[in-house]
Amino acid sequence: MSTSAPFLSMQRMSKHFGGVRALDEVDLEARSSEVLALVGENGAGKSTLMNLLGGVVLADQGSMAIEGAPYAPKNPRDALRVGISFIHQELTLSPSLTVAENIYIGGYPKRMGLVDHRRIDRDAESILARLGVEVDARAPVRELSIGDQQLVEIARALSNDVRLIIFDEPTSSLSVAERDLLFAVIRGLRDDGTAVIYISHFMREIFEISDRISVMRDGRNVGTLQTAEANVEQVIRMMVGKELEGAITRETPPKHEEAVRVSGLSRDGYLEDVSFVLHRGEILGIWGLLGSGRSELARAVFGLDPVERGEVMVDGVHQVRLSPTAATRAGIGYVPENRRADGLVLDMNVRENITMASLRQVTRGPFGWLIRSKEEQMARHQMDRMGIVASGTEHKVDNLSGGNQQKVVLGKWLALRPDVYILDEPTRGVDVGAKDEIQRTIVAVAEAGASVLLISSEMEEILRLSDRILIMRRGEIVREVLPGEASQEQLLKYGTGGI
Amino acid sequence: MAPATEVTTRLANAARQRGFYVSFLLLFIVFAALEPANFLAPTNLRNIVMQAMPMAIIGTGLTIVLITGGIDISVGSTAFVGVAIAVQLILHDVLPIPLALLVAIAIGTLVGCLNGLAITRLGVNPLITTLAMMFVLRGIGQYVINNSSLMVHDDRIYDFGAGYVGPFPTAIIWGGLILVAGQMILAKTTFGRHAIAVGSNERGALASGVNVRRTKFLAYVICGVTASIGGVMWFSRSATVDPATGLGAEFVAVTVVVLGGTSMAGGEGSIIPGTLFGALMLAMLENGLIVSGADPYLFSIARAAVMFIAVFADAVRIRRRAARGRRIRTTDQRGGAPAPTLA
Repeated sequence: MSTSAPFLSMQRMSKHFGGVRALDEVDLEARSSEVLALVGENGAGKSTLMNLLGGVVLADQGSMAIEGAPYAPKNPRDALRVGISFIHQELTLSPSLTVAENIYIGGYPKRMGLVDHRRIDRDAESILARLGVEVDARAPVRELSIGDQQLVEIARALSNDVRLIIFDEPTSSLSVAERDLLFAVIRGLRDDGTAVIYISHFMREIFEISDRISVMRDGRNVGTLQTAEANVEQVIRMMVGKELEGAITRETPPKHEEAVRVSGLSRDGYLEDVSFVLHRGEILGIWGLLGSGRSELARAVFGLDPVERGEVMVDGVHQVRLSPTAATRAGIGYVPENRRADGLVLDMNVRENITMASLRQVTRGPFGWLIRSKEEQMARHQMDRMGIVASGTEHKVDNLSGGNQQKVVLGKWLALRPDVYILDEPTRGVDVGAKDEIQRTIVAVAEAGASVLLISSEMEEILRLSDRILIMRRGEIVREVLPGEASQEQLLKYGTGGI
Repeated sequence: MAPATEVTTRLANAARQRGFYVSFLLLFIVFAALEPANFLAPTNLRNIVMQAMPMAIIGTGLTIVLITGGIDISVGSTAFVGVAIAVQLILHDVLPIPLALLVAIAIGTLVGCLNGLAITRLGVNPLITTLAMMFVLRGIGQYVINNSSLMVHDDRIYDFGAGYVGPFPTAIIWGGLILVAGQMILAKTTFGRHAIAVGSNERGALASGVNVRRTKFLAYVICGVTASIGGVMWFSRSATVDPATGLGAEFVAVTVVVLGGTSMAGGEGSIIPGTLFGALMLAMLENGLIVSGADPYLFSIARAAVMFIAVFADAVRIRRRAARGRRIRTTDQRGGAPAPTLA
């Protein structure tokens, strides 16, 4: 299967962004009829490499070839022309158009000047059938599940005569059944002669789906393994380049004093009479599946989403009107689930992002006059504390890796020194090293007396850090468990409503 | 460390804007070559700067509004209505001249508050809010002056915006003070930082505890204040107000601001050098066409062309910025729950 000549070969690809070296002479090969897994921590250079492949970013050095012929894409169209398609985490379908209309959106066949709907419906059905997918070609895309929408994206790629298809973290919002279907489709594509590059953080998936694994670290390709001959520990060692840190131990137990009391919080369709108490120095884990209301709870307590009923008390003070401004003033910090949309101002630099919530501390006089040296000092302090890798405080956050961006978001709240932290997926999509650092920071703030509401979809993280765990399902808290007596199976059982 | 990087950032921004500054220089050279004696005369150059001041002042507040991602097209009518009321107060001997002019500015402030409230509290689209305000204020102003041209026969009027303190024209002194203050507010205060953050990523600013509503509200208030000061400057040159005072000024002001590199999409821009040079460019164009004896009708066409080019250049910049944002990312793009956005 993997003896065929490479479809794509990339040689000595290098790329700098400003002073940061994103890629350093990377070689990579993707072969027809093969699934190549591309793994690496965040900031390892996977995204940049794929951007070069897709013509989104131009390389500083290096060359690419498609079936031996030189390939130098100037824009995403060039990539499409040679049969390269990307399936992103973020879907690009138009919700109000039908499945067939989305599949052929690049150019509709016409009949008497009008879109030939009969033909696109028929063609779409045959492509969907080839994928083994049961989706109505005439249904508007907004009526499909996320998993089905992803399959429609794949069908669209197939309608363009795809030769190489790149999957970028495709499973993170899929159910188990949807994932199995996706994998079947990927195997089918491979067996039909398509080359596949599969990017993921999930080791189990990589070992399940891939034929070869290329590991990236610090902008280099540190090695390619035959999946059949590799094991998980080996891959993780290559990714990290160092041994993993051990468990985190708490020195001081949480106190009995109440920091936040949430009573009867309700928002139609999202939250159902949610009540809990968060104590001083406590890490309270909230675990639930996607759509369980865990993120909506965080947003409601921070005042980002409106609530219909219920109240929040911080330090015994009733919060009359919930708003992010009021919450911040009451001493609550919030790390959102989606750092690029809610956590950062991407066009601003590290200093401006870190000081954003604490400008009061770096100003003088009644007009809020900013003192540059104090800003600098605050930013520098958080950079050192969080180990943020950037060329300096003036580095634009858009150009940082995911892990470093997340550290900036956390640094922004550490700078404010709030009494309460609401952390929604604080380590999502960050590399193993950054994850450990962020988790240690979370424990450190709790040790110092702050309270943490920790929301995570990762059971390991919740079990590792929490003092107590609340399990959510369909907008309700269905169970409280202690990490010592709960297992991952139990979380799943309560979170899904029994097995 | 900080000053050095700051200089680099400034230089980088200037380079991005270099098309504009090169055009500015070229236009200057063209007029200087065509009419060396008239155009380059020191009094003429000073006149250009003086001519530019009212629009630069109006552009000061407008720059801040545009940076927050908003728009205010009521500035021309705001300038007009303040002056119209002030003139009637003077002509009817209700208030002495300085106080009447302060009333004009107070009216501008009030207009800014109303715009800000409608936009941030009622959630009305800024373009529509200020469009309605533009018509309402034009109507009120015309009613106040009985739709006629009124003149104040008192030389003290000229002292404010057309006089001299020693060798320095008051127009340039006022303009300098207001533009510098505006740029300071933008670059050196919490409010200014918040304004840029709101225009750059409103959701991110909101989730960082920034009071988005207050920030936008203040931007419109400042815009109302500077619009009415610009009106007072105009009035002070002719001592006259008529139904067409400030008519169409909103579009010239937007041109000036965008020409100077402030983005219609929000999040970036400057008053100094941006809006200042935008205003100088238009004043120079008008002056150059006049001294080289061009048909006056040509000016309207030239101004329209400049407006189009400025907005086009901004569109190209916005597109580039959007393209950068679309870069492929491996793990960071999971969409969270859609945030309710404030107006």
